Amino acid sequence: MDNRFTLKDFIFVILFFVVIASVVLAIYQYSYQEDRLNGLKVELQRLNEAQKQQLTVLTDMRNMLRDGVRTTSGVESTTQSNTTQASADGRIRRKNPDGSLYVYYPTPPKSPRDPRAASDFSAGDWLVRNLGNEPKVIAPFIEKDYYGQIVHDPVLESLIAQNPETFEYEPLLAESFRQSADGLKFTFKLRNGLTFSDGHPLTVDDVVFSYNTVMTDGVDCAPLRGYYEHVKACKKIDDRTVEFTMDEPYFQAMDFIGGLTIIPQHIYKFDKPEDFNRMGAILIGSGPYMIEKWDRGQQITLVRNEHYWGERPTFDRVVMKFIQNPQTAFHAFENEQIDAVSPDPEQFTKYSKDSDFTKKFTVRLFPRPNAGYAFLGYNLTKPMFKDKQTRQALTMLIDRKAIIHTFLKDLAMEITSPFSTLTPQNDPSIKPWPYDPEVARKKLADAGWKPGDDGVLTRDGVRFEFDLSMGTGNPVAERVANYIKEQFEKAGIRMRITPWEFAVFTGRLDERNFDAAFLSWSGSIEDDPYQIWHSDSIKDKGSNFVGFSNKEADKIIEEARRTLDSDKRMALWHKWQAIIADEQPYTFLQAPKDRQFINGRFKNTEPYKTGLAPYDWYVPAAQQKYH
Amino acid sequence: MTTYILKRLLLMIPTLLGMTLVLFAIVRFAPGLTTGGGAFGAGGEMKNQQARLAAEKQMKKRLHLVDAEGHPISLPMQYVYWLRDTFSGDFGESIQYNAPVVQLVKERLPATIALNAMSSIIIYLIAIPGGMLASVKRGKAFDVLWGFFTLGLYSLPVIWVGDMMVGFLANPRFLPWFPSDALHSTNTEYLTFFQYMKDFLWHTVLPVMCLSYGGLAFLTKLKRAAMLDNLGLDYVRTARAKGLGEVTVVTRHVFRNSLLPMITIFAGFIPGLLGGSLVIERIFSIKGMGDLMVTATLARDLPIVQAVAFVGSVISLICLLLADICYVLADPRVSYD
Amino acid sequence: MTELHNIACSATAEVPSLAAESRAAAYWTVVGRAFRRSWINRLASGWILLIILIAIIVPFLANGSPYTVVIDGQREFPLFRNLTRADWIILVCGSAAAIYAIAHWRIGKRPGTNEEVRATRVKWLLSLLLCAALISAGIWELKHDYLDVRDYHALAKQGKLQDAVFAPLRWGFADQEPLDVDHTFDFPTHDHVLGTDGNGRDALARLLWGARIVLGIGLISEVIALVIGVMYGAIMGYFVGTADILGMRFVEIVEAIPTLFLLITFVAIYGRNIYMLMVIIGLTSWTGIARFVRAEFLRIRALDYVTAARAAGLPLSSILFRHMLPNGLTPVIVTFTFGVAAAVTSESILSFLGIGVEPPTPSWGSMLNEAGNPAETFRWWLAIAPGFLIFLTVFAYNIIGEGLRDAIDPRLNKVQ
Repeated sequence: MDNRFTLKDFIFVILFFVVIASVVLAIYQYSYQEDRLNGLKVELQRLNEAQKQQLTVLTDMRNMLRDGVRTTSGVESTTQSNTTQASADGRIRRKNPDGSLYVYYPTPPKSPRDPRAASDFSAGDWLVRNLGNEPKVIAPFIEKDYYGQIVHDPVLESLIAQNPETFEYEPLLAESFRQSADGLKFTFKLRNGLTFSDGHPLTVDDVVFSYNTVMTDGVDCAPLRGYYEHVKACKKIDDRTVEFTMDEPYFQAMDFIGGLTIIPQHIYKFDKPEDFNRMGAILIGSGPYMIEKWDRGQQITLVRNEHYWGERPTFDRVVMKFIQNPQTAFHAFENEQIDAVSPDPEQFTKYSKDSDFTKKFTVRLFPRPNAGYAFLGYNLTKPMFKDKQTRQALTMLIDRKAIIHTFLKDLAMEITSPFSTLTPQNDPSIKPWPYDPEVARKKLADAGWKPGDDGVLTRDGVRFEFDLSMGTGNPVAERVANYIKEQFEKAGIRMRITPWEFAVFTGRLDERNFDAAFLSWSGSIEDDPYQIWHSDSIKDKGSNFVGFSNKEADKIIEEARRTLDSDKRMALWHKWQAIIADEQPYTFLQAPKDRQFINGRFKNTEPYKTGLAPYDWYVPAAQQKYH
Repeated sequence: MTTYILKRLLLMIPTLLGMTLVLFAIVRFAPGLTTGGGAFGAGGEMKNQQARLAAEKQMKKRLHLVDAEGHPISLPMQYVYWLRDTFSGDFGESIQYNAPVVQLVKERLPATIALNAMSSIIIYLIAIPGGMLASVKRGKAFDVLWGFFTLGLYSLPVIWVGDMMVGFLANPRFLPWFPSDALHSTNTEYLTFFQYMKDFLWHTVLPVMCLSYGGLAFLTKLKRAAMLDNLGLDYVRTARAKGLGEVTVVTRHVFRNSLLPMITIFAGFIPGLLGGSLVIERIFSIKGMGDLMVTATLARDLPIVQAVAFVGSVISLICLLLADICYVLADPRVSYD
Repeated sequence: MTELHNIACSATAEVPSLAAESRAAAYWTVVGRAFRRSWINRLASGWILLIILIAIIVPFLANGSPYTVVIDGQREFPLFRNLTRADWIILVCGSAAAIYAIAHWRIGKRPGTNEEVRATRVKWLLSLLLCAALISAGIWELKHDYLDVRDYHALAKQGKLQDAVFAPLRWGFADQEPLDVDHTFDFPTHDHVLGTDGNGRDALARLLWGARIVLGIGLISEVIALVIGVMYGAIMGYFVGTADILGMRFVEIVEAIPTLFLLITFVAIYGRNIYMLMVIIGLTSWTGIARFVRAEFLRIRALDYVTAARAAGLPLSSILFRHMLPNGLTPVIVTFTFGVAAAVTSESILSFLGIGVEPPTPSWGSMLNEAGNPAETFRWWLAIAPGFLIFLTVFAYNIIGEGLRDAIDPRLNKVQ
């Protein structure tokens, strides 16, 4: 081959360089222009915003002038009634005749089983937990995962807290709170002497700052911001009082307004939202523990907050390790390197029956109302899933009890609807559909399905064949899907399993590009079905991807969301639940139970209704391990 | 020769540009976009979809998929932006970790490099004497068996060997000899330096074994061939005629001369090693580059995917080039003009 | 061995003619003889042939439906009725291959010149290929997969089956034990000789059915790679110059991008599906073949006789494609064999990462992943067999590749 560097090659190279150079030039030219344009845009926006701000200041001033007098009179009237209705410990929980709610706790709420009341209680020792995964970000609001939230738990606090046994809201950082009769105004009065873990006092300004941070467009907390969509303002009334205003009543408003975590303004102050996003490794709050250090790839160490404004926290240190492999974590637990571990189903069944093991370690198995649930969702726009007869039959073909027993090792509960069976939201008189393939086959025949030449059910030329979309990477879910496939085939229904990566799968759900979907929703203590079940949520890629639309159900949801009285609301939920259980747009499979092995030296480890509370555990002085 | 190298260097430029185009196309046409993890609970259960969509919108802004007002940016412009950022050294910020990609890579790279360096040393330490012996005993039982043995090792699926090692040698139910995950114990903060090193080495035994055995076959064969080439040359005959012992001839002369291809091949060897460590990092839960890459690809953390694929490809390109150039430099018989 | 090398050279060193073609046939005979000389090569080929055999007849070895049975007084043949289109097509192609193998051997025994023998063989091959293709197309068009709603295990337990003749293994790859007793991850029993998997399915049955996947993934994906690689390499080698330079840049680009990243991304786009997986693995592994073919073409076109032939007026394309391509490509078969081994490994790695074939397809990689995943309880009795089979298969392909390389050109043995 003649491969010499000839004149032709030379010209080729020159030409080539010219092309490259022009491309590079074009790129820079282009990006330069773009930068200039962007700069102009930002400038314009800033001006616009400044104008808007001035406007709001003016409106605020006008409002203040108008109802300034009325506000003071309101405060007076409540202080008067306090004296008359106070209970023995000075706590007040009162529904006023006008429908507003007032709650006052002179001292912070205690846990339902206060460890300090125990005779052998002793502060000290460490608690070594396993997070299972390194949190990617630990800063408030912008945390990315469940692991970040676990780290937040002992460090950050909010205005109110939910009682883990009664589910009632109790003032925590606030001393009292008031919810107006129309459910649009929430007033909180802070306690005296609150401090952050660095000794800096916690004031109303920090509350306002926390709210503003969440609401700043560009702060990386879009999912959280979604909840505050209808919270229109957060106003400082006086040095200890702050008021939130909503633009429409909502039964869960107290939950997320009072649940807003309060972060220190002097630490997190930022000019540009990107500056806040970059503080991913900074976590400072007012809670009983504070971050001592974060060893990347190894552990996060929390230390007792000696400045804590409440009672002195129990543990000297809390260590959170990041052991990813469940087998390794379990071995570390057995060797007492970590104090609590969440075993996998097989480890749980094996060791919870082992008496040598249970002598040394405490075994806990407990349901949690917010654990979520797994389901099979049918795309109701597909012809085979149109009628409820068919959907009921599909549910009856699946032996949910056997799935729980065999694949989940009895570590889950049967469910009938999206509502957790542990809360009053669930109507216990509604029973799950029985497993009965015979009746199911009859139902299918009634619905007009007849076996074709090749054994597959057919109706009006539609063959009962569909794809089951699911996420990859969960072996247990794959086993359940295999089982369901086999059950459907025995009834003449052909189902193909098509696993997708989650990032792709959710995209296909958005586009409604699926026949049936197998996944789980995460739960909350009182569920709001609007996002998933209201027909408004079908459009705009909403969560109602199965396309469930029922006028009556819609009406009930809308009414219940406005109803602030909990008894009336529960009655509405029960009505709605009956409709869903009958329609079966999902086959509701199961809700998981949590499980935990705990080192035997810890006392007071019984779970509450909301789950375990590790910061209520303690170690009697004689058994303490770390000093 | 200089012309050849110059030409190769010049050709690198279009290759590099073409590669960015291909990478960009693959990454952008793959469906799905990360939501930064906020949309899923610990058990993979999905949270409110409204929240997810809001997160997605924000992601698009951060990734330059839409401009400040939310209008989509055209694909060529996206490419231009990416090219500009990449070549000015700005690899962006990871969506999942809220941290610059460069920092993440800095955190993850040492583990991968440590593993690969250790396994390369082991491969060379075994392959060189193995290949020498095989060439000396050419056609005899040792040669055949050694070749067969290394080919067998090469054929062993690493996932199986890794699983078996973790299952049998790092399992309290069988033999708890080795730790099964990470490169450190859980309580390293109280260890002295020597204890720490011991702990580290103890953790690396199994992963390094897994990484090494596959490369033996190739290098042994190369060494053997190079030795055979040299053994047939005149200078060996001269040395023998001088009355030097066979051992001296082989260890002094032939050994040295046949080392050259082993060194030149190393450059071509690196990309393959990096690819191999991916599975091993998964099996032994080691937080290295491979783990970062797989997790990011599965979650569609585009900045990491783009950056790591880009850097990986550039390294491969450079290594290929180095290997070629080394080959030319080392062996004057190969003519490229 | 040197003699063989000379033959290989002489086959390419003359102006091509009919004689050269017959030399090519003789060349293959010599290569075959050299290859068969080593018992290890024979053993490896035997293993692959065994897997092929199992892959073809596995529906008759491990199946939940009986060959024949009397239910409610009626004689039925459920196993044959339940065979899918894929089963039939594999059977047809398998029988065609078997017939050809016998015919090939018989024709070789017949008297006649090399050309005649070769011509007869080609005739046989073409007619059998045509037949197989026609019948397969017919099956694809006419037959529908039958969905059998009967549970023969349950019926047998209730005593409702008379005169049932079952396959040697009474479990198909998707048949699950009923859930009322927990039969998941059973230790080997006499019902399930290798135990059961997480769904209560028989591990041995899944291993046998897995032979199809491992063969399909390996061969089909490499055939795809071969087609792309040969065409691409030939184009580059034929149009030397700018096309070659540009083409080589593209090959370099594809080689530089991490393969696993490509695989993961493609799987994400097209989903986890066995056929897609074959295509995807094929699409990511053609560069080696392309490089090889290109180099071969460049070598051939520089040889003296090609210059001579061109001077004599023969067009280059005719020399390259009609006469040289078939001979020049023989060494590609070595690359091909190693490629098959690599494809099998790729599949097992994808399965390990949880993005392999879709369930309930019985692939050895996914079986290994279920039993030996370090994040779950280690079930050694389920992990050993699939891993060992993957090893044996990959090893066999590699041995065959090495053996062929030695047989074709002992000099190639030295440097890759």
